[in-house]
Amino acid sequence: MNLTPETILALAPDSASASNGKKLATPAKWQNLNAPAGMLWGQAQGSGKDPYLTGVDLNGLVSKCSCPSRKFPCKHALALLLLHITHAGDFGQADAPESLQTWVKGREQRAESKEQKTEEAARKEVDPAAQARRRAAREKKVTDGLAALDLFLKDLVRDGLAQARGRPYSDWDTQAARLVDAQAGGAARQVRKIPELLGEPAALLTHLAKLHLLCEAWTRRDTLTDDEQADLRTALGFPLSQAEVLARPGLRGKWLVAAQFTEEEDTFTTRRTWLQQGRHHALLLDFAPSGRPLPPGSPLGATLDAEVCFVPSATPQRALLRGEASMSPRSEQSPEAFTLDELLERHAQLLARNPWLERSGIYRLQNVKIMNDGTNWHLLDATDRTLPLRLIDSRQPYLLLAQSGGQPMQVFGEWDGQHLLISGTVGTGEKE
Amino acid sequence: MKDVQDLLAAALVGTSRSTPPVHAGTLLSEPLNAIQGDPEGVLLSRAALAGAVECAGRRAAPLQHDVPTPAPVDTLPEAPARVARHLPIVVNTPVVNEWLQLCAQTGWRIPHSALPGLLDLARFDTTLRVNLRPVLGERSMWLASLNPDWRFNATTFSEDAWLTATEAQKEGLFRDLREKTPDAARDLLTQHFKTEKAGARKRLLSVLQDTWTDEDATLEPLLEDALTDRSREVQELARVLLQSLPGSAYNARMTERVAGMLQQEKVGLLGKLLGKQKVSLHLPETLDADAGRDGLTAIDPHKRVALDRFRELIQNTHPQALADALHLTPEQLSGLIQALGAADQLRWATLATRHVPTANVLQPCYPDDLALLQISAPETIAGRIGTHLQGQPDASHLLTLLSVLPGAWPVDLSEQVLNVIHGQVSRANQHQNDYRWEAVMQNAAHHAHPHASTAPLPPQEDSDDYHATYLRLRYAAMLRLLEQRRLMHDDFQEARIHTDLKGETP
Repeated sequence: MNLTPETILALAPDSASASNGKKLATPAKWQNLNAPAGMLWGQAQGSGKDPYLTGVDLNGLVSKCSCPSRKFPCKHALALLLLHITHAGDFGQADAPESLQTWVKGREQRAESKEQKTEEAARKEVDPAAQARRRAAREKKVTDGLAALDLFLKDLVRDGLAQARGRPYSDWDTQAARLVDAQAGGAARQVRKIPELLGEPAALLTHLAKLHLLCEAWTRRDTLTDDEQADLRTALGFPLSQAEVLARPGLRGKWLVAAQFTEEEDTFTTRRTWLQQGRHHALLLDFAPSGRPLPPGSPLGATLDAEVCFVPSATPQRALLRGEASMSPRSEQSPEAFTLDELLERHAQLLARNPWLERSGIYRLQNVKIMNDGTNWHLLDATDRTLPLRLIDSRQPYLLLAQSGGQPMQVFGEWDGQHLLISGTVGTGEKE
Repeated sequence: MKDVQDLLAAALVGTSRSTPPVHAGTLLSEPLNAIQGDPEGVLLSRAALAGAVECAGRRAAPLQHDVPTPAPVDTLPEAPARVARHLPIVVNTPVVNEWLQLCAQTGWRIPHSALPGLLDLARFDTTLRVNLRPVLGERSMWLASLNPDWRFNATTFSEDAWLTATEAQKEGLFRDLREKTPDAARDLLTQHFKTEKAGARKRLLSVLQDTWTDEDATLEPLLEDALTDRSREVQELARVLLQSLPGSAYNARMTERVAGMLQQEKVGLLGKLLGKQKVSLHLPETLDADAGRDGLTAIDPHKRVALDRFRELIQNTHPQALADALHLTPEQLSGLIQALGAADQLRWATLATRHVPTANVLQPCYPDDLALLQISAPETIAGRIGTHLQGQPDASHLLTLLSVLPGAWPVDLSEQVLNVIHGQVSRANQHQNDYRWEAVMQNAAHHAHPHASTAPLPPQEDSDDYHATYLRLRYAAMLRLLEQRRLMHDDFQEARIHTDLKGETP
């Protein structure tokens, strides 16, 4: 697989690890560098007396290191991967020490047993009566919670949204806490967003109307199709049954890791990884409590040979990987490209099927430029149409401009109905 | 969208004081009006439908602003991957300046993707700015025109830019022009100097002082005029600049005054036999016509002290001009001036003009003067360090001496310093431990010649001795950094050979 420093550094659990990994990525800091088949290993002198033994299994880019860090991958593993790109000639072929070989074998065995367990779990007999009782109890809680929420929303509208700004913050907080107690975490998250919108009446009304729609849909859920019900449950924050998802038929193929976005929420960090294969796109979600590292992810731009199982939905998007994905040579087939109007058209179609859709997918946009109108950044396509951008950080547009020099380029964009969040690559993206 | 606006108006007031609107004349009128129920529920349901339609019906906005013209093609070749691979490792460390200097020497520019990060760092690091300038290329100028934070780099000179620039911007433009096209900078100064405000004139001469070269001798007429400038600060700067030109008319006038003050006294027979000369100072009755513009103070008739005037003249004259006018070598000049009691003034003049021969001569008289040592020949500094390394060197004093050595250390001196460090670390224990050697090691890691040979540490006898262990770890870190720098230098060397072989000479 074709790793680049950017894709490797995207694996870092935080910016400090990325920075320290870069500093360690010089042969002078390593006593041993080897790349036997399928893995990398080396010994780095740290602050301890003995050097740290670091290994990276290239199948899945998982690492093991004897350093005391609790981050995965640690700075030594990142440095080892960076070194393999920049100083490949310094790597020997010596076999890894026994401890690393045992670890790699263990991983293989665990992967096999995980698959077996998943199959067993799928085959496992469940008590339908107990399951039905649990589901009914939860649904009653959600029903009560949403009824209270709808009453609250109607009170707001009766008093007038102009009065909403004068309400104490505890009003929104209490309402959100009640929804958490009612096991409707998704609705609670939407209620917590209300204070941000109090200064924008139009956006506030739209947001409250969506919440009302959620309450209305729940009362009429029996009239919805299975997929529509699944979308409703997802919007309300019902937990995902991984076993049920993995029991569904998967879609195997060469998936491009098209974009990756990591965002901090109140108490946790979310990483969205978008995979693309032809017209299909899949969203992998990873979560970690704030301050804790995310699980190892897939490097941006890599091609994975993986089987993807989609979560039930009227607009299949979120997915899980069945088994471990392995790196694969880059596929010759590029994902479908869109103009900005085509992107919006697709978004409208998906929104018609799932009104709670937060993001309608990842889109390959070619021959685009970024520009600033004096206040905000926009993306401009070849048809001279523009959409506003939401930046990952203040340096992002300048990095793209530095790489493209103002020439047309290719980006992958995620549209949330208001802004494009882009992950860029240079080059028009057109097939030569 | 009208429907949404109508609903918003009703929602802001509240259903207790208004009713949901009746929609008419829009595509959504019928489905919206069909929604029935309690007023609050109706309003929210209609808003949900209208909001979803508005969101789904959104079109991309047509282009309404100018798109920036694409960046011009870079004239410098990009640093090859072999050397660029070091950049992510050294960025944010002091070694980045060394990388940039090597890049400039080979005539390459930094890769485009590294520009934003380096330009951001250079906002607060003037040393980095100086090292960045030669390797940025055209794209960085183009980027700087798009980001106000990087304006320090967007110094594309034009007549219009000059006329509309603030004093600080004029300083930046002039400094940039001095670096890129010194002739054009001199023309600009000649053309605009007299019409600028005093603040700008002062800034321009300050830039001239920072970047003075021998070619700037052509600016002497302008500086002569500036001796009568309305601003005292500008006058003073012009004097300092003219003093640094050994052949300037200013120095000629000053040396003439010095020569006029020196009188040969008669010596006795013994003195004649020994070839001795006796020189005394004679104060002229009046000041010459140019004394005022040359900055000389009026003579107080009640305190006519010849030595004061002599010291003033020595301090404000180029030592080389003095030596030439009096037909003396720097050694003889130094001896004469010391004998007359103006040694300190000669030292100040030497520092102001950075005159190396006089600095070398004055060294023994001022052994602890670092400023004087700094302008001495590098060999003199290296010799002083070498002498100090004999016997029992003191870490603090060694650090002080090393701090004035310009640029990378020579190989032999580097090896001397590294050997001394090795000895200190090998002997370190809890009874004989000096943490100041850690600072010497850090200094050596960054400045020692990357190809200087280093000695590995012998095994430690007492593994529980914390002090010895700590210093050894620092020594190991120093060796690793030296190794990293050696790799970097080797890669630049190899990449240069490779591009030369391919005929891609920058």
